[in-house]
Amino acid sequence: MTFTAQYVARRLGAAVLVLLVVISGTFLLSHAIPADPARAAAGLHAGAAQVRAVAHQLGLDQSLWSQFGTYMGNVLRGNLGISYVSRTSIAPQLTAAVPATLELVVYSFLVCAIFGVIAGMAEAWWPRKVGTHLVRGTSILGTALPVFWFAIILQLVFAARLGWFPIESRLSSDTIPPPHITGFYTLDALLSGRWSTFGDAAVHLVLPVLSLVAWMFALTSRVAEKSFATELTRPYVQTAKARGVTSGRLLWRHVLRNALNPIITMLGLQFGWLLGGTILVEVVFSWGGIGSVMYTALQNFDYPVIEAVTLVSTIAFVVVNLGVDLLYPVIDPRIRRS
Amino acid sequence: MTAILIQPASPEQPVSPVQAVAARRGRVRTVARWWPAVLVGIWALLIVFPQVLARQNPYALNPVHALLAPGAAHWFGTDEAGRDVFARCVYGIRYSVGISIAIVVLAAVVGAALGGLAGLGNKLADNLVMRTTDVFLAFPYMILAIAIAAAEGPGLVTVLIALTAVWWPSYARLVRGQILSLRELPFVEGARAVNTPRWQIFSRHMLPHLAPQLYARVAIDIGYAILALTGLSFLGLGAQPPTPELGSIIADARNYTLQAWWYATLPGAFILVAVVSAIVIGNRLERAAGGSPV
Repeated sequence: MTFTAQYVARRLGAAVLVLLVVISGTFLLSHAIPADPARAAAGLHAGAAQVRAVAHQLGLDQSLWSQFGTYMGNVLRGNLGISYVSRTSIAPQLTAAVPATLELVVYSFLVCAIFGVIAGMAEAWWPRKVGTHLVRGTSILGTALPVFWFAIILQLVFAARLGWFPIESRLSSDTIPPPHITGFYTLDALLSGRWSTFGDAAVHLVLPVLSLVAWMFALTSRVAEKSFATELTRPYVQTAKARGVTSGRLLWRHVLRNALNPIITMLGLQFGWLLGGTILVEVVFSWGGIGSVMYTALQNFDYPVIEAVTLVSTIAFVVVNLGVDLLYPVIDPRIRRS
Repeated sequence: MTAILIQPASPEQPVSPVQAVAARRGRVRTVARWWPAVLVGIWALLIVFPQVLARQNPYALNPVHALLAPGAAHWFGTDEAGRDVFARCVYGIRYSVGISIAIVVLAAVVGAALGGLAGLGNKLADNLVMRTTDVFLAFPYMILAIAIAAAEGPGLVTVLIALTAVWWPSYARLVRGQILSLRELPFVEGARAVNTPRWQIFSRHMLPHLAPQLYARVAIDIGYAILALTGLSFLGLGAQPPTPELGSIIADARNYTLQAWWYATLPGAFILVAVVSAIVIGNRLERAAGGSPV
């Protein structure tokens, strides 16, 4: 087996192990901590007999081990359980909500990664310019922003007061959603050639994406700046400069690839923050993704739904970090050879 | 070093212009050195005695004065029950900032203890602690905190437990990593050679080396804990009404954002300033500890 194949196999194995542990973790969270899940399921006004009946129906009267077996089996088959409130299966509900959240998260992630890296590069290249100090100052302010509050401010100023952007939701009420291809409204609209729908979806994305980016951008640009600043002190940079390589070529062809590793690690970890932040932003903008599902479930103490969203988010996080791990050898030949 | 060299001239000596400038610069340096302490003092004062800044009762209902715009009587306006928003914010610092401090300090103590155990104990202890941190770090932290808090039922104690639970692993890792590098240093080897018990090596010889970095990290994390705590409260998992907590004030205000802009926006300024203070103090401590600000 070549080294790369071994590396990939090891990472995949580790990720599967982590996923099994994560499923066990969410099981414990929902079955071992709540004082009386059956009571929550039966509702506040249920009598003792009713609670017992519900406990029996949901299998809550069985031992923790047998409940765990059932749960694990169900999750592995893609069955995420039944909502206490709507009494319907959770998986279809989440399948409908996940693309909405992904659209928000993916765009935020891309905007943040691209502009964060460019800003960091510029800051490292011109460490003493006024603009650099300005960007650094705003960075501290950016990391200190409560994301839900910033979302409300954006909504008040740019939607309610100035009317530049819509106040909430993914599409205007008079726009018909594009045919379902990927679940991303912008992408689906483009693929089916509906330009006005695309414009409408894009305009609805601006404020939520901006709310999510504000916090993450600060951290990305700072890590990028540090990484670029370290790389710029290396001898190969001196050599390249002495050879007369233009600064654009030096930064984009020579330094970028070397500086990318810590930035990608950080972006992978930031994805976890994004998954939490999106809940807050979706609540403010009534976005209709898994964040809104989570919020409604929290209001109703709907444990199976909370647990399902936790699981789905965590799986996404694990998968993204697996992707980051697999990206290292692609970017960095040193990892491929060692 | 420079602050010692540039001493203010003593009053008996004739003061030359150069000396006067040096003296002024010395005073400026002293202020520059101490302002983080002043900042800490201000926040501590507001946590313990909110009444010095907020004259009005944060719980007093006054429906006649519901949703008044900011003015001389009510600096931040009033909420839907006629309560003074400014008073509620100032009293809210006690919960938002106070509990965040508790969360991070608790997480640091638990994390340092377990990280110490992992770094100095046997292989089994090390594996046990590190694999546990792996499990916690596999989850997106806000999602995990939400899940824990939801399982326990809403409340401030719940949020305290949930956020401490997601925060300690990073401290355990930090301390373990530091211990592994400190363990090879001569003074630790010396201590081991004279049969010093392990916990004493940790507490007497290693902790003083770790402490400065730990303090800096704690200060910065308090800022992030405030963001997480207010976020959980915004989702309804933290403080319950009528407790004035900054996140839950903003959550209450959401139904009135269009009629009363001040109600949702101004409390956030308190959060922002609190978090910036924590980060700035943390950066300062980090520089004092010899690292570069993160």
